[in-house]
Amino acid sequence: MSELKEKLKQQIVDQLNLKDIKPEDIGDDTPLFVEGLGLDSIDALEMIVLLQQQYGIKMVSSEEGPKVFRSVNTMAAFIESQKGQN
Amino acid sequence: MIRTPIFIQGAGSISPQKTWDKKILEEGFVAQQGNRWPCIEPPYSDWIDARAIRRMSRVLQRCNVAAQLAMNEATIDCPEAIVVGTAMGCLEDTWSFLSKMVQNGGERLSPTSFIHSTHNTMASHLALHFKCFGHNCTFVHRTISFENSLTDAILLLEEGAVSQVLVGGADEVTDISFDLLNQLGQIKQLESGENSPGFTDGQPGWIAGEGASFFVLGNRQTASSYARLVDVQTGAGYDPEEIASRIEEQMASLDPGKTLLLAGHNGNVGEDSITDQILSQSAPAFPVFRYKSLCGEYGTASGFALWLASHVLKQQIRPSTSGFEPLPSGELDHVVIFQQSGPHHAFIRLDRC
Repeated sequence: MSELKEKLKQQIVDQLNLKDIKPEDIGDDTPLFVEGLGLDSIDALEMIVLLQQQYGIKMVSSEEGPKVFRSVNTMAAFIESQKGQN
Repeated sequence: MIRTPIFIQGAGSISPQKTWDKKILEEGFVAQQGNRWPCIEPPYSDWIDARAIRRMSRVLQRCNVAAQLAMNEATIDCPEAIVVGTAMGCLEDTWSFLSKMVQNGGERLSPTSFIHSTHNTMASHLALHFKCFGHNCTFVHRTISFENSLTDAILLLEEGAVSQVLVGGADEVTDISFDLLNQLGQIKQLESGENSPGFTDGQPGWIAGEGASFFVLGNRQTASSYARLVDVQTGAGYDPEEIASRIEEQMASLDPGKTLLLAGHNGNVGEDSITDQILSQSAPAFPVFRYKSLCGEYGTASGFALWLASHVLKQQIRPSTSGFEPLPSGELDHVVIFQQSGPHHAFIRLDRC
């Protein structure tokens, strides 16, 4: 799980081209949107693409988004829970 | 002719010359080499917030900073309207989006490159950045895109819909577009380190340039005003004699001793011979400077010419391929920009103010 979180942080920085943020700056529980990293709705779409590209996971319900993309912890937990289902 | 007084209140340009730095007026131009002239870029992060810049391709960064330069000179934070011309749009993002579409079979596409792959990205991006809720339009009309964006801005000002407009033109050359143009035989054949031939080598092909030039046009003369925009005309047609007659009419009222003609020769012997034929008939007595010898050829290079013309009139200086020469005050009253490319030609006239 820890390895997955580190990998996710690097992928977030790369996918969103976060020039002023290093992967180690992102805490496992740091909120990704608004008050945390300050990501926005276009970033949310980029994260959905990231999950599809890197982990083969398709988000089917729009209601899942806010819960899944709350932090690196919630993203990692979601990826783990989807293993073998997609 | 434009019916109401319209002034260039601010001008900003990113080009293959260091046009974003005022020192260029003293330091002069750089001699470019090879057949692809990239922009000399400013430190974009000094101008654009890191969170905003991360989604901008290079051409959007150029548009943003060139627009800021013009707006700073005009001392405005937000224009009342934004109009942009581009011949080819955001090529880098378009290529990125299309190649991912092919690679991924139409799935898993990045929204950022999709959003930026459309031509109207340029004006809309600026509107979002500067929070401008007014008129917003991007014109994509090949080599007269910039002139048509000027025309739209002029109409807005003439109608009294706005008191000032941000208007600009931008195009980029990418590895892919350069390679394709090269394969099509459009580019002058030069080694990468070879000195450029000064646009008079008598050979086919042109040198690929790029750039973004923006202006604040307003209905009143301000302390920062460069010049008065008097006329913008575009036309279509292949007959050089017919084009020459139209240009001759426009030049008839101008004194050759008080006028500089900035001509859009691009170094391609075939196209330049047509431009020469038009100008030798319509303006034989007027001094001519070939502005693309500084910025290369691209669809909105006349935006660079307007930046050059603005400085020439305001500072009373004459351009050469190495820099500017001072002129006695009041020496130049008019600058005319003429370019002809394929079926299109365009004419812009500026007067000293």
